Parts: sequence; structure tokens; C-alpha cells
Amino acid sequence: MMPLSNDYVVKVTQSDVTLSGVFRFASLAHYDEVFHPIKALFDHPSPVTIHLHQVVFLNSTGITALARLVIAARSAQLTLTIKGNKDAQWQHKMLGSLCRLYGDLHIVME
Amino acid sequence: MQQEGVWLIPIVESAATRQSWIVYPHQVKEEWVVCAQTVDGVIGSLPLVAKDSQVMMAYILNELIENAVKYSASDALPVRIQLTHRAQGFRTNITNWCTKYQGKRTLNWIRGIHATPIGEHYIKQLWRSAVSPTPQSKLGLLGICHDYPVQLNARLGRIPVHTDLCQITVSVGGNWVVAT
Repeated sequence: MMPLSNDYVVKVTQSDVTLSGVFRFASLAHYDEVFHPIKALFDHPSPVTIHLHQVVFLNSTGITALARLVIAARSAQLTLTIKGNKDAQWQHKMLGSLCRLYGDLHIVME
Repeated sequence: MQQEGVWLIPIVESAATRQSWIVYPHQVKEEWVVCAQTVDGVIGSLPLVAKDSQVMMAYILNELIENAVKYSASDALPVRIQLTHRAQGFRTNITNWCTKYQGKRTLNWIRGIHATPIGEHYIKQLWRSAVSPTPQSKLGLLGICHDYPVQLNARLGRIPVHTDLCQITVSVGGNWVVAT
């Protein structure tokens, strides 16, 4: 049985972001707070990569929060890459949708 | 008294197991983790299913319970979670009390989901939610239909004439995810 209660990590380095665990926050405001360090990276013109391999679960509010990051990267004309887990079917669907928000979004499934 | 809604999912055949749970909105609102714990409890009652099926059930239950809690007319009125499962698939019904206005709004939202191609509808809503300052994503029910091959329906219970409240049951049914 996989544990699905909230248990998450957001690790931000210079140009890499690693999200892991379960994201089930109730509101976009809560996600905005948790994802704020990621958005702060977009103030600099360097490419950013978000790693989602270890994300087990993301609710619909979290998907919207991720979409907001994609739109922010698009507005900043930033090169954004999102690396997903090829074994997680839900990530294929989600990342396919995010791709449609920003033509220059790079999706890598590995 | 009247009944309204669409109810297309057939009753699950015999050899099915049906279980029910109750959660109160105030419990979830006081500690949001109660929603996650409830979902975990429901999934824990399932026989061994593939990990993708667990994630699917977690997503569906999480979204339905979140909605039921958010749109409940009172924090003191129960949200009932019912899960029927069998070897091939499942059906879950989530019932909560809401205002008649909210109930009809939810029915119309679901009719809208069924009336338009789901892919386009989902992307448009994802875009709207991402660019607008609205605090709600409105992706929950859409995401269920977009991401999984399931049927989504809802119905309003009998509407008593002496109150503005009614019960709404949102139902999702489908097959377990086949591992690829």
C-alpha cells in the first residue's frame, strides 16, 4: 500500500527543482507559498529544470499550480524543462496537457 | 418533492463488495490531512490492485471528497463515501448536503463536461485557472474525466419543500487500470 498522506519535499538549487512525495494541499494559495522559491528562479534568465520523478501524487489544485509555473516561465520567455517519471501513467497525461500551455516547454520522460 | 440528475452507471453486479464511510466537513476543514487520511483509509480497504489503480482511486476520491467538503451547506452535515468494487472495476458515490442552487450548479457543470470534447475543455479550463487570480482550479471533476476512462454522473436526492438544502451524490465508476 502506497502512503498517500501529505508528505512532500521541494528542493531548489540554482537551476534545478526536485519535487517529491505527495502534494494534496487544499488551496492554490498554499501551493503558491510552497512553489514560491521555484517562481523566484524565473527572475533570472537561466534555464530551469523541474524533476517530478519522485512525485507520487498531485491533486488538481497542484496541477493548476504547476500550470501557473509554466505560464510564468512562458511570460519570462524562459527555457523550462520538466522531467517526469515514464512509469507513472498520470504524469504522461498531465505533462502532455502542460505542454499545450507553452510550446517551448520541454518534457522528458525517463 | 422532485428528483433531478443523470444516472447512467449500472448497478454493479453481484460478487461486488460495498463499503461506506462518513466524514464531516468540519473535521476536514480543521485539519486538511483528514481528507488524505480518509482517502488512504478507503484505498486501504481495497483488495490488492495495481499501483496505477491506487493512484487513480486516490485522485478520484480526493477530488470528490474535497468538492463535497468545499460545497457542503453545513460543516456539521455528513459526507457519505460509498465504494463498491469487484474484480474488474469500481463505483464510488460521494453524497453531501448542499443548497439547491449549488446542487443544480454542480449538475450543470457535469452536463457541460459531457457536452464538450473533454480534451479541449480540460485545456481551456487549465489555461483559465492558470492565468486568472481565482482561488479555485475547477479542474477536479474535469481532471477525473480527462485522465481516466471512467463515467462521471450526479443526481440530486429528493428535495424537501421546507428547506433550501438537498443531497447531491456524485458518482464515478470504471475499470481498474491495466498495467502496461
